[in-house]
Amino acid sequence: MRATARPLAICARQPIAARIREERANGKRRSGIAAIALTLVLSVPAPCEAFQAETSLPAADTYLPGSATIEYAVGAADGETWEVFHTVRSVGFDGAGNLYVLDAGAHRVLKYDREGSFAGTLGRQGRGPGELERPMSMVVRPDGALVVLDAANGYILFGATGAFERTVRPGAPAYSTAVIPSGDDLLMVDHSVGVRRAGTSSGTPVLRQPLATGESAVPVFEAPVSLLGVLARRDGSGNAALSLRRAPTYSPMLRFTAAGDGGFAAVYTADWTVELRSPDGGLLRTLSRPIAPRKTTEADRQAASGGGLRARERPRANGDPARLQLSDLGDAGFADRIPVIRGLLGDGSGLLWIARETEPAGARGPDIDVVRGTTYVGTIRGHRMPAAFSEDGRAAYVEQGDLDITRIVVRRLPAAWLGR
Amino acid sequence: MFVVVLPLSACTAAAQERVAPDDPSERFGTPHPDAPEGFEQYAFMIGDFTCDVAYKEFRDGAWIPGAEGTARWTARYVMNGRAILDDFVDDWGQAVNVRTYDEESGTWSIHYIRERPEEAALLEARWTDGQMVMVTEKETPGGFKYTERVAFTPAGPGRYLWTQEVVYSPENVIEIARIDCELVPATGGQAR
Repeated sequence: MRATARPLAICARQPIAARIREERANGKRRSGIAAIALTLVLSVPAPCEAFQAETSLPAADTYLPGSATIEYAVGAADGETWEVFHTVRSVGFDGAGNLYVLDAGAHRVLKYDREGSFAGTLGRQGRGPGELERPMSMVVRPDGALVVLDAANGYILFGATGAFERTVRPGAPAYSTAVIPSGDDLLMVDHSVGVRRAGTSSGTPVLRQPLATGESAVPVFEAPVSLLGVLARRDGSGNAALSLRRAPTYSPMLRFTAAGDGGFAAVYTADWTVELRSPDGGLLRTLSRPIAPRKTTEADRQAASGGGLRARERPRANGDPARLQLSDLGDAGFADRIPVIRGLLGDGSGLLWIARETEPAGARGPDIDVVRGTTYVGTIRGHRMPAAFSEDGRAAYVEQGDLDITRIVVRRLPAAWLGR
Repeated sequence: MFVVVLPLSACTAAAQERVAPDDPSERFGTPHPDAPEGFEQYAFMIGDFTCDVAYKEFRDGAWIPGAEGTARWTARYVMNGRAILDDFVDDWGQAVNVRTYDEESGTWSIHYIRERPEEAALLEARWTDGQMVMVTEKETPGGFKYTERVAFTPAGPGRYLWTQEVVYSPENVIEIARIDCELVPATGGQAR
């Protein structure tokens, strides 16, 4: 393994600009859209990046021995109300190994003890205190406290005993399915970028949502990728112009998970590159493996592709109100490479599982690279990605069984798979 | 693939701020003072809405209840208040529309792009009997021709319904999707 560290004497408001300059200096070129998207994020506030390092991980896989063993599973077609799931949106463990399942379809959180026995329910359908109407996601804290993101009700906080504590309602819906804890706050991905941030960006932001004050979420980082984007501007005369675009099929998207110390890991390129970022969004370290993305094949191009729109406001010479001029932008096409990384999950204390695209797709589960801190631990061959890790070496998997019955399976993981 | 060409000098923070200020009270814009009267027809969907989504699926020769989920539908005035831009995100992906009104014909043009499944189309809608209605003639891969009717129905302050119907005949209309949206009241960062 080779680790290189170099100081980056560039402050904060220009981390992306610095990267563009650096890439130009290294002879790298970006596509037009990527370059524009990068340029557009210059106004995103970010902390000063006093130090940045890159770690190159080995190219060759070292396969990890062992297999995961089932400890228990919950979920059935019929039975007690606590074992029939409707729409599972989120699962998590507390520090004692209790499992929590957010069943959005049933408007509740179900709790199971470490042996898998039913231990209680939190929430019920409604709009009152502690009730769930449109639950999206959930964060479980080590002491058993919960935060449920509910698009209709806001951020609903339950204490360690399961008692409802309070609701936080900032000015926008709690609408995210990718959310992690970060100290007392939350970090989450906002995919509804098209309108809310029209004109300021075409990227995908990570937002920090304060829970103590209830202030509105603020962006701490913005990945220069978006599957749909809106660019809007005004020219010097105040006339508006707007473009809608859809990224080419198989374009990278932002993948996001918990890393250590309240920070997060982010993936948004086609290469095997994982960024470790601080709770404030600052880049701490870049991990990379020299594994090239495979080329898009004809078989990959089965999906249909769409187009785009450009609109311009055209003032009339005689002073009449301006009219809009619309033009189609044609087919978005396909990216020429399939992103290497197709899944990412961290335990919040430095363990990362990074699922790789394998070929032929679907023949088996993905290969999963295990990284602890900045060290490559090894690769698990052909294993499905879990939804959550516990502190005591287990993982929860959300699985669809026969007749589309949802089951939560808890497996004990070999110590080697955890880098221990 | 297309390339978006914008002069970078126009992408300064100051220029962007005029288009989409961070002030929540300015988030959704206003109609242009010179906008024609019919431009108000889509005013019911301006703002940040969360929605219940219910689809039906065609299985064994019949439409049966299918997936249910949650969506966020946000719409604002853009283009100096001459168009509406809306952003729909649900459990399966995202779609964006730009809606413009033609005063002479009384119709709306809707440019539609969906992320997954990938789709792009230019659609037309017209305000009819208290609904915004979009009718499209379609054909299944097997060659069966049918009519699809999509309608927005304002349902009181801060609420609207979006429905998608398959019209086999005037007497045989099947609703295959329903999205029930309600406005998220902006509470200005108040915890309660």
